[in-house]
Amino acid sequence: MATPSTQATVKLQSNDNVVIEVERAIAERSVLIKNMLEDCGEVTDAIPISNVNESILRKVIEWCEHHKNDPVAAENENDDSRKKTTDIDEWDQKFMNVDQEMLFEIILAANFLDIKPLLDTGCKTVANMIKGKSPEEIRKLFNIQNDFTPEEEEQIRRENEWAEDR
Amino acid sequence: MSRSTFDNRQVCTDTAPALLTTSSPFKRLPNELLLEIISQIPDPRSFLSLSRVNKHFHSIITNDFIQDRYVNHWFFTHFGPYRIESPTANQDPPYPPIIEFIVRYVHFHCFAPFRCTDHPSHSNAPTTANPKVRSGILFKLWDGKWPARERLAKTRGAPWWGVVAQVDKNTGTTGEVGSLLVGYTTLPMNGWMWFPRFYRRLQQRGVQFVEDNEGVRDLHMLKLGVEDAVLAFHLVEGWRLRGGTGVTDLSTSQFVGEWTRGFYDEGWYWKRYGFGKDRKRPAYYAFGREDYIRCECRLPAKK
Repeated sequence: MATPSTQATVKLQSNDNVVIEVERAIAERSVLIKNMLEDCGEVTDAIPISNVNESILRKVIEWCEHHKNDPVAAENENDDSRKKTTDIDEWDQKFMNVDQEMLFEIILAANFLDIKPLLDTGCKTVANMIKGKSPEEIRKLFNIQNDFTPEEEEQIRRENEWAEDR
Repeated sequence: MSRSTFDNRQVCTDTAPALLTTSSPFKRLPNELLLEIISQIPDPRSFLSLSRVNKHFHSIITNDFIQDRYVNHWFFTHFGPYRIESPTANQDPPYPPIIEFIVRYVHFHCFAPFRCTDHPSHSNAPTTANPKVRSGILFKLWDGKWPARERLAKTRGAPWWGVVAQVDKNTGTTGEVGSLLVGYTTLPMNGWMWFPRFYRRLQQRGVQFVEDNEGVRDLHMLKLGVEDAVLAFHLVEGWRLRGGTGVTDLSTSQFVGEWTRGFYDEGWYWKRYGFGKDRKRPAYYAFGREDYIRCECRLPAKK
């Protein structure tokens, strides 16, 4: 008979082979890890998190620690319900105040580890960076190549003219 | 079966480190994450301007499916919690749902056969049907000439002092499009020209309705587009700037409380909903009232 696991901590191994021990409740913010632990029962070996390096993994764990008491969304909950608010809470804003490379790594890690609230926060942060910027500013900010010819650019500018306020 | 294993989730990131320094971080995101980010952009105009960044973004932003998704999500996050589907939502509503109502109203009444060309409550401008109504200002097909503010201020009824009207070339009658621009938004003076362009765009797009078994074609079933999101965005910005509290019970058409600084001033409200001798809802009013039974909103606390 399967009894509820009493295992207090789990070990996570980053892709640069650093093992980090965390409370099980914290690690279970990740749906991926949670499901795995449920499937496998006791896991004494380190769980390889093959897509995430140490610094990102520590960052993600930091987020999970801070949010460990948040209510977990029910599995069958409507996808929309988690997106109701447009705002990011203050702690998360500070947490996301990192360089771009790190920010995108966090998004990828949150996606891989299946931590939806963190993924949302990351996406909102990037979306807020885009807000109010001109196309040229967006290109600069994210180092994107402009592959339009001047004619194409002019044509698309006219397509969007109706939305501009001058 | 739906549970993931480590193996099948190792996607899209393996090549990432090599590209770090030279390439845009967006290139490393799988499309599903890119869409996730795009759908979170709070400003519909920024959403649109992404299409000018490069070809890849252009193909994404101009995709109908993605636009629909964005618009639905945008309206949901801004007005959603107060909809009837979620009456238990205990969140403060981000923005007054009546803004969505106004947007729908404008869109709906832009087009025949829904556009009312001669009902007095639809236009302050003199019409052939109602020559006595002459408090408003008529603008012929968006020539951009606006009368002096002082003169506009003397007119009553509309939330702002002027009515944007359209001349129907065939019949010579007028129809209100919306009394929205200057009073309710933060658009600058030169931004007034935005509305004609916007309106033309709306007309190009036409009216579409969400599929419905019973064939209901009213405001409630109107399919909103990115144009509507842009209009709503301007209204929301205006509302935020001027601030306001107010309670409107649309189930009884009772205006309860007060909109500060007249975001929806009472005169305008009664004119819209209580027009006529018996103050009954006009027959052409086709909005599903259960949709916005009780609108209540407060300005988010200032930081």
